[in-house]
Amino acid sequence: MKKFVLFYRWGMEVKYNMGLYFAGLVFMKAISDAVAGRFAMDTLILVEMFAVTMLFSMVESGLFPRHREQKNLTRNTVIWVCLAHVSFPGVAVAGKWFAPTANWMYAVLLITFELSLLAMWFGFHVALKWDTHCLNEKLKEYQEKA
Amino acid sequence: MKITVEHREGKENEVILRCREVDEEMLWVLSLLHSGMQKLCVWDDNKAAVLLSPGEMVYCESVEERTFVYTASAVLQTALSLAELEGRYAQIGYFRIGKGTLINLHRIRRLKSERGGRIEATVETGEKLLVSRHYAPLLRERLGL
Repeated sequence: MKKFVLFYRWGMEVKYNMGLYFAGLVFMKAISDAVAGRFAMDTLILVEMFAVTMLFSMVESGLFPRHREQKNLTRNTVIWVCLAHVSFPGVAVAGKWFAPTANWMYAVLLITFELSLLAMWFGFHVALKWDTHCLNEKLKEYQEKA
Repeated sequence: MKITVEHREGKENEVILRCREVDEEMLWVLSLLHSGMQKLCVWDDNKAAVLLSPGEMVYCESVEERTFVYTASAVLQTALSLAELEGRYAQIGYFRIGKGTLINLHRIRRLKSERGGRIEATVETGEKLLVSRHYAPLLRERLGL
């Protein structure tokens, strides 16, 4: 039962991240299609996006474990960035997710993707660490006050 | 309120409260002293009962309608519910971090901000407990953030 609960918890966390990535990709696809004058999406592409985001989230959960101590943070962050480039722009080009579309649209999509990665890096490695620092400072104050 | 600590010889520590009248502040001090001294009756696997002071408890957990008390070295059981423990020891640093978990804020080693607004608390025993999304803002408020 305990193993099942742990597996279920892991599944929920993976699906949460997968949902975010999938929503982001669908949003970018919708923008790209709308610019090209298309207002319907290919089901096969959606299935591909679903599979890629799920696989990426599963690997990501191994790189940044939530319930174990984080080891090799710098190395894993580099792997995560490389994997994100292969999984999203890489598969998008190979699978022609956004084709046919104008070259400038590809540039916009790539810049959006890079900015999203940067925002995620900021969120995980700067904002959360700063928040952790503030929490521990206040905890120390609370414990010393008593 | 003026606080004076006197050092003197004697077998037992003594607290004397001097006030014009018993106002809210005095009642708060009294309840704090009372809850801090209120020992909890717990028992181990062999049903041997022990009186535990609230400061010894690291965290309490409710599992299948039973309440477990975790100290630095033992897992004990109590007849009180989590809500009763919370009511009794909230003023001395007990804090609800989830539906079934109550933590002693003084026995937390460190906190870690997590994705989704949650907080991970590492207690003195090395165990990691998760403060749920619902209770995390309340914990921040309690710590003065």
